[in-house]
Amino acid sequence: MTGSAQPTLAGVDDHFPIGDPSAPVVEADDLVTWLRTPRGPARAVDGISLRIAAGQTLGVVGESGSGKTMLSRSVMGLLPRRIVERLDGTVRYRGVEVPRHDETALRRLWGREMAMVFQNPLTSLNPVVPIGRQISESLAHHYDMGRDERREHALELLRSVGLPEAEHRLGSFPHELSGGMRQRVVIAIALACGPGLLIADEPTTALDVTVQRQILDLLDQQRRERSMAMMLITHDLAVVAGRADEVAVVYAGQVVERAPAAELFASPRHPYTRALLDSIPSPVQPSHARLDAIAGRPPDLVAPPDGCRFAPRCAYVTDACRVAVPELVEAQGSVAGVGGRPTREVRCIHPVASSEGLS
Amino acid sequence: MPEPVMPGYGAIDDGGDVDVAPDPGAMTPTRRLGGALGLGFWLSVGWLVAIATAAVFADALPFVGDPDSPIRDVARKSGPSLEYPFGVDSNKFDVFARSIYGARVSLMVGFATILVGFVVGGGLGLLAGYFRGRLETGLVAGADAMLAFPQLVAALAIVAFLGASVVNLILALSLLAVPALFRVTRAATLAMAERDFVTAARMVGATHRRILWREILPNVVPPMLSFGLLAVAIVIVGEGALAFLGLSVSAPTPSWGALIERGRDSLGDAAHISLGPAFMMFLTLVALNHVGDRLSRRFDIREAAM
Repeated sequence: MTGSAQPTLAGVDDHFPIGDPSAPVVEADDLVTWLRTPRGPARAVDGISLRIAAGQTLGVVGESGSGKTMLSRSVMGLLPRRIVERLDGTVRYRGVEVPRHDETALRRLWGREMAMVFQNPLTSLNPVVPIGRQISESLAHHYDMGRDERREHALELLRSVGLPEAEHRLGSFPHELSGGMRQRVVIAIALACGPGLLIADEPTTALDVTVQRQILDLLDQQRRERSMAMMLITHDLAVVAGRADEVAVVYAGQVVERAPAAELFASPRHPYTRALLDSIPSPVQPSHARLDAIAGRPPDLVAPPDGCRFAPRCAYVTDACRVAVPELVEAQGSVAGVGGRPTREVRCIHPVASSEGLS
Repeated sequence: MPEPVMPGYGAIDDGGDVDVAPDPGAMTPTRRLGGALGLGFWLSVGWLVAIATAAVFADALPFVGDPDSPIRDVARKSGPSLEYPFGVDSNKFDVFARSIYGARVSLMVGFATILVGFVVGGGLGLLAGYFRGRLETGLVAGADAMLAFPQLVAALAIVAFLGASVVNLILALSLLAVPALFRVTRAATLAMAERDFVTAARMVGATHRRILWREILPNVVPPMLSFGLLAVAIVIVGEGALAFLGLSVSAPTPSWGALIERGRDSLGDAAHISLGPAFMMFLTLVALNHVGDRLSRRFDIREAAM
């Protein structure tokens, strides 16, 4: 990988973070996004709060259909208005409230302050536009840059994301690049305006396993160098391990557990987190050992189960679980974090006991 | 519990780049254009270019005779000869010359109609496919209604009512082209608007207009174009049908349809009067269909490779 130095943001001198630089880059409170379906509202995001400081990575983990992607879209304000039934909660970017209903105002934030890396680099690049132009597109939107300046900047970006022979690639079309290289281009596009928040929505899912690590390392490196806040969305705990500072486990549109990454892996408090960790095959297991899969299917977001939403699949379920709705409360082992916010929270009335009982 | 590690991860050297991509330039589409499209494609393009050039520059071409004055030294309805390849008609007019001039009206009407279809139908299709909602519902209903109506009858009525001029002809035949191109464009736009790159473009702050113009339009033009070429052929036939019914541009301006009609009475004894222009029309339609077909197949392949 080339280009370890931060590219000089030639012509981007007028870029300064909006809002209060000491505030968390992104802070979402009680986000609610319900989608309209023929059967009634689907609670894709049902009361999620999160906070990411500059230079930090929040891992958002959950299975398909748990509302991860809708969460990222809700934070961005990028929602399909036609099917949104209910939209609540606030998002603040560096202390400034994001105008989630005003697309014109949002457009000024998108790309420049918040950017996104999509799951599938095959569909997130325009097949008929050369990649150089796709990268400089956002520069043209947000900055008064000349054509040569934009080209120069695009070239620097391509080098910084480790694309070999960057000069020759500016005029290439997406189909001329491999999957990993395309994803590098997608990342370059996201980074073009030096955003404060980068949301990576399953950035490696569509990639070859051998390339996955490179892309994750690249994202990590860019986050460090630019001290961005990053939201890393994935269904794969292994992706988050060692990269996220904090992990939020999402289940049925709600956060069921939030903890510093190391602690989450060492001592999960929520039975769902624990079940997820148990379902990862381990190299020390004897061969042909039975994989601990989680029984059942993710709940129906239109009609979630009464009581705890994980109760129907939980190994430790009690009668109380099917009645009482658990709140997200401070978990065992939590300490007061920034601003008195507990470092660990769990949504379970019978949290898994302390780490002693676990392997 | 050990930190989960993805199998195979540890082995990769961070410094190396294992991405392999083809040499840039090795796959540029232009380089394999000729071979992939085949000889028939280029023959068709050649014919279309030739007939269009001949039609436009007919006055200056030495081998195209005067279409509007009878030839003295031949018999009426005399058959093809070296000098007059399509023979002469009952008024001793040179059928070949008239067929070349006839291409003017036929081709002009064909392409102008599709141009109207592109601008009106394509524009509305783009808007409907991108913005969806009530606008789309209304437009789709309108297009369906237009397609459900017997269009040749509608075109006939319009020309009969407004009078036969080139402009009215284009207008009437646009009834055919607009809803058809609307549907094709809307379908292509729908497929494109769902792609992540449209979201990605919004994500960097692009306006709707810019997304439509720069992101979606370049992607829907290829299918529109290949369909458009097929549609030109349909419109030329439509014009021919109107002309055959005597409802196209009035004489002396010939069009292929009108020329074929001129020979109708003599089909028994001098079929060449109708067959000459019919042959030219036939070749043109085959060429248009073939080119459109080739192009659409080619774009499909590219689509699949993405």
